[in-house]
Amino acid sequence: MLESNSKQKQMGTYSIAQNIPATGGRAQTTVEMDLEPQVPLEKKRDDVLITLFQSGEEHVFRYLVERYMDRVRNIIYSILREQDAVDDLAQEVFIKVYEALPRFRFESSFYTWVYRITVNKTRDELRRRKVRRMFSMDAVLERPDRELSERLSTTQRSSEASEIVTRSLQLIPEKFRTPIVLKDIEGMSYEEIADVLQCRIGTVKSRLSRGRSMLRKVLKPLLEEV
Amino acid sequence: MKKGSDRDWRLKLSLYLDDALSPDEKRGIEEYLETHPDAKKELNDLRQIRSYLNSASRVETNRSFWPELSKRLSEKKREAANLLPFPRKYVPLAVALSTVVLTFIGYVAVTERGQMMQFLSETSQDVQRAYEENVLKGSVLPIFSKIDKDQVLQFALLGTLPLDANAQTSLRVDDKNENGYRLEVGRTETPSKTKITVEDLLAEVEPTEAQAAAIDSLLEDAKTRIASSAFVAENNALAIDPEIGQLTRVLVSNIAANLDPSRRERFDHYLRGRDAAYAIATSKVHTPTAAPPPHVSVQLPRIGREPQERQYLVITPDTMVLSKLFADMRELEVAHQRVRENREIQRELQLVIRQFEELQRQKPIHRSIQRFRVVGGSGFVTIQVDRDNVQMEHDSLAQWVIPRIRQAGSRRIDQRPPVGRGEEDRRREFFPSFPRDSMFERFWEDMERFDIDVERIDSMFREMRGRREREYRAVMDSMMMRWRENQQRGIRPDTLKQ
Repeated sequence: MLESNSKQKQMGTYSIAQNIPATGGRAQTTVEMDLEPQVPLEKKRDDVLITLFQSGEEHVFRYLVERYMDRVRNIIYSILREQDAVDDLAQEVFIKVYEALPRFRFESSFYTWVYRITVNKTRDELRRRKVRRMFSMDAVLERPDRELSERLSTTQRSSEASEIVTRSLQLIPEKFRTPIVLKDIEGMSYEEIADVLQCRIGTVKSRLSRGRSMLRKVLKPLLEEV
Repeated sequence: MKKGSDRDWRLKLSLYLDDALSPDEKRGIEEYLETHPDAKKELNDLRQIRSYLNSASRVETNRSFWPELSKRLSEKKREAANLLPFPRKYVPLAVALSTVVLTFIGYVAVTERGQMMQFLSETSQDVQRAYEENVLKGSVLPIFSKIDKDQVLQFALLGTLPLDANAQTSLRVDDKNENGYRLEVGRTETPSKTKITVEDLLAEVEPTEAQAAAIDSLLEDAKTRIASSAFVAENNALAIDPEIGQLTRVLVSNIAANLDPSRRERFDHYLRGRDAAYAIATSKVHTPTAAPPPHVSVQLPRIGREPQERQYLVITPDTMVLSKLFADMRELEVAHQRVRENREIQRELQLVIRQFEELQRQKPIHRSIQRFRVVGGSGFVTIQVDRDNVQMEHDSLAQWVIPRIRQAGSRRIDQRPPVGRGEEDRRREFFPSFPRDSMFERFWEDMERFDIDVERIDSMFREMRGRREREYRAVMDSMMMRWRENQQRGIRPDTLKQ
């Protein structure tokens, strides 16, 4: 098991450069960081936990998982909207994180890196299931889901309306859906979304705008009622 | 509003919603919204949607998430530890090395494939090389290049082919077992007293002109094939086309297939009268066939692959190899012209046999490759060929005849005396796939003693083909018991019904 019973080391400052292999003729950068010896493990910063993990303290991985598992699961749920698949896929995400963490170079923030893995895994899953919506937005609007349409015209409670909106999100293509999830549900900035999706900020803005317009068209009955 | 500007407008509205516009842009949008209620409605809709999304239900916390994940991670670590004989950090290096090695092997395999195939297919390259060199130099002698059609017919009927003028040495074929057959080269113990000639055959069967022509062309074809089926080399090697063992049955079958039912019956009678190794299958005796085309030669169906690809079993006292030999028969025949009569062939052959005999005395030989087994004995060399191993594209014509049990005294192969060990041991060791023959051996003496009609046993024996060995043994035991009882009571066996 990863939970080690070994006595925690007394830790002071720590050079993360020792975990970064020297590349070519470039001078090795040494970053001195405070490993917060007084702070309990579960409250240490991400970079501190990662450094500890990379130095062999693998049990700290648990705190990273517990810190991000709900957010990862939520992204998966928001994109797939399928409760049963969430935990399996989230575990695969963290297994990937665990395998790649020894090579993590702090070139981006840990959480955007985890989100990137999450989005990629979710995309793989969608691809695997071949459930990508290949039809155009016009086609969606021409034949909206009857049940959804009925509920949109009769809903009263905001919680149910909220549920309907997130369900309607499934009707728009994944490449427009994911930026909306990251922006409007996860509250990420354009820069962070661009980092997660590995694209330019302009692309993020454009996809968000188009995705929102599509969603508005889908939700027209609900919005008119409100 | 045009579509292009519509998209720009929506982009700005989206940015305005996220508060991502400069103060000037923001002011411009707000002024526009004041005068355009539709645009304002759209902005409100987007705000509403965002608020719904913000308040969307989150997935519930799963308290068993970490324990389950931890278990999966531990399993993965264990698998990785079990699979890799080195630390994980060396995986890229190992992959790179493997790629280099495999690429090298692939390169060698592609560029040197001819040699590699040769290497893989040979158990002894030296023998192969020496033999092929001999073939090319003409120092290999075709054993049967001077046989006539009478001898071919005799071979088809009796499975024996004399190797010299006095018939002191012969090639014998035993095709009576469904698992395979045996080829034997050795001294002739009891030369056949029955004279078999094509003339007799034609006189007894009385075929039409077309049928006679067909029989003649079949015999000619078989003669050519036999001529290129066995060679002896000066380096004490013997090369035999293992498929020659099938030739007897194929030839008799094809003769039968070219006859009409009445003449086929005569041919069956002729076979029985000559104590042939085959009889016409009961189901085929009256089967009508198309008459053979007049004046057109009929060829034997190819038993295996094309002649150019024929494989020979090359055996020497030291080695054994199954290999393709490209024997140029014309060149060999020229070389053969220099050989007086068959005496030199005879001498070489006797030398090979003697060496096998000598080896058998020192240590029992049991040499085998790919289910070919060779055993030497007192004055003979036997090659056991398992049927699965040879490219036997059994033509349906080969099924026109079936092996029959011949009279005592004509079973030449099985009568070989034991060498070194007890006969049963030797048979078990060298011919384990011949259960029916060896079982039949057990009853042979009884049958002779009780004067049981061998022909009748033969037909019963044929009916039992395909049954399992155990069933066969039980039936035979019970049959023999009944025969013995009835013999004691003086009842003739032909009144019995099994």
